[in-house]
Amino acid sequence: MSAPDASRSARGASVEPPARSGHDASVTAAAVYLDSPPADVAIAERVAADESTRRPALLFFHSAVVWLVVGSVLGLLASLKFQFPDWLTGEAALAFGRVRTVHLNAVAYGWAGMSLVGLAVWMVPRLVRAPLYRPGFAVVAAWGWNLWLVLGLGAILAGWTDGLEWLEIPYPIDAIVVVAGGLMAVSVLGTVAQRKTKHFYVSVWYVLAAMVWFPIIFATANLPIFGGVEQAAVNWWYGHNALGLFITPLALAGAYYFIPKVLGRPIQSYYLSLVGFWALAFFYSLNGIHHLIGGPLPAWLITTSITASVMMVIPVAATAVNFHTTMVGRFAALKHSPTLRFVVAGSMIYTAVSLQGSVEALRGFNRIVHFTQYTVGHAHLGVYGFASLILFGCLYFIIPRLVAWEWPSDRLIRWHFWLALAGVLIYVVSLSIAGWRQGEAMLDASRPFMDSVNLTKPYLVARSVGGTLMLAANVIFAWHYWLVVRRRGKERLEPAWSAGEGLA
Amino acid sequence: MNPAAVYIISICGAGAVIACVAFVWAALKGEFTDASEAALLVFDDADDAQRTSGEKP
Repeated sequence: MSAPDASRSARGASVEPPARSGHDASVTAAAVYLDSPPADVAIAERVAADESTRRPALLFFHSAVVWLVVGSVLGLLASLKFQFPDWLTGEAALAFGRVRTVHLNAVAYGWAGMSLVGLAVWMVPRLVRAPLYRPGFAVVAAWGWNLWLVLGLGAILAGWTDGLEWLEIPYPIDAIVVVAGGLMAVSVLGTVAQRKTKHFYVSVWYVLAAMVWFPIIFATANLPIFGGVEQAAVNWWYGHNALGLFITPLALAGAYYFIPKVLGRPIQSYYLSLVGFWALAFFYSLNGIHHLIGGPLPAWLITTSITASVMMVIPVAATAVNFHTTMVGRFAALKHSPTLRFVVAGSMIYTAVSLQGSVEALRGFNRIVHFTQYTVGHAHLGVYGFASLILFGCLYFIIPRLVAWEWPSDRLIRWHFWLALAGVLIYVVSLSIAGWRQGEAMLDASRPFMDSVNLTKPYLVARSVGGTLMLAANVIFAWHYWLVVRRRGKERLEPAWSAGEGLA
Repeated sequence: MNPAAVYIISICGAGAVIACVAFVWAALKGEFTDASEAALLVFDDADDAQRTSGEKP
């Protein structure tokens, strides 16, 4: 047992664990493990699994937090340029088109991508009761991922891009992340191959799928063989799947792990969780083409995409019902657990953003909101409101276990939560209203085009306000993260919030 | 037929075949037999998870 683990166990032992309803440890072992080991052996193996993931997981998380701050600063900078269009115009690298693009790539691939992979690295060995396979591969993958981002974002700032949304990083540089992602997939899949459990927990299904899906869609979309209309189609097929087949499954894997874990209560219907997974697997991949409604593509292809988008109601409803019924009677725990608070808020937003996406794919609705700020709001609700809130919750649980140190301040966690939630809600509501009004104005042939631009001005100010709150939340989180990994503050035997009245 | 449609449908078709094979493999391996027991895999008595909830026994 490593020093941090020993320290953790000693401190953890001083806190009386609550009774867990519904199962007994020996029964659990016999039911879910292939070899039904004695409890002490199972615990030793879990500790070994944790130890094997500590270095790569921390490397991914440290990097992700840095990218979160960098991406957030650039996002706010891009937003403020709508209010101050003459600001920072002397330098080409700080033009809106480049800053906004770097913002997207930094938060999508740097923050969300790296923290989700770190989550998978930490979670899978625990769930299959085996140490991480080839942890050195994961470490190299993390450095490779960072190298890809530094070179790629530098290229974008210098004006060298592929010019395709979500695929702006030049494809020769993308070769780095293909190798890094491949190493990561080998490490995770190799870990699963050593499993000592009878079944895959649903989170493992999601992680496995993401590890297979993402390299395929990323490599395919980056092939320099597409042009014209087919390039646009492949671009949006990829762009939407980067969210749906990479970010979404990994974030849901975290939610399916932490909601029952913190509550001490199994997920309400395990079979329903499998329905959710397989329905997502079957329906999601064609969703992206709905971004091209009205474009010069075969009508049947777009109709197929709309149908697939509407069918997403099935996995979303299955997941929402399962999470809600698991939480019923336990909502008071939200007051005390930062993990649960963030993860449940993110899960609720997942339901909202997914249903919103299904409606947005309908031709009648899309006719109004297409090419408007509405889509920008929707994207932020997905990546920040859903995925990032879940990720924050996961990190509040994981980091103390990796560094053997409690988060120093309940006040910082409280500020982080409310600023993040308020920020994203202000952002999304303002852009949704702006987008709807903008779409109506653009469809009205009697109105000049500039009407559709001018009417968005107050909503864009609200967007900057929301963005400022989100940046403040992220900076607070990053500062708190720095404190905990540096083991600053008072050494605690229990979380900072346990001594008080909770987090509210 | 538009080449874009051919690309997209081909790739998604290949993906669907892989998903179907994975599903059948999982079924044949017994992944869905008594699978509800897998819901207990998240629990580990060595990990004092509930202390993050502040719930009292």
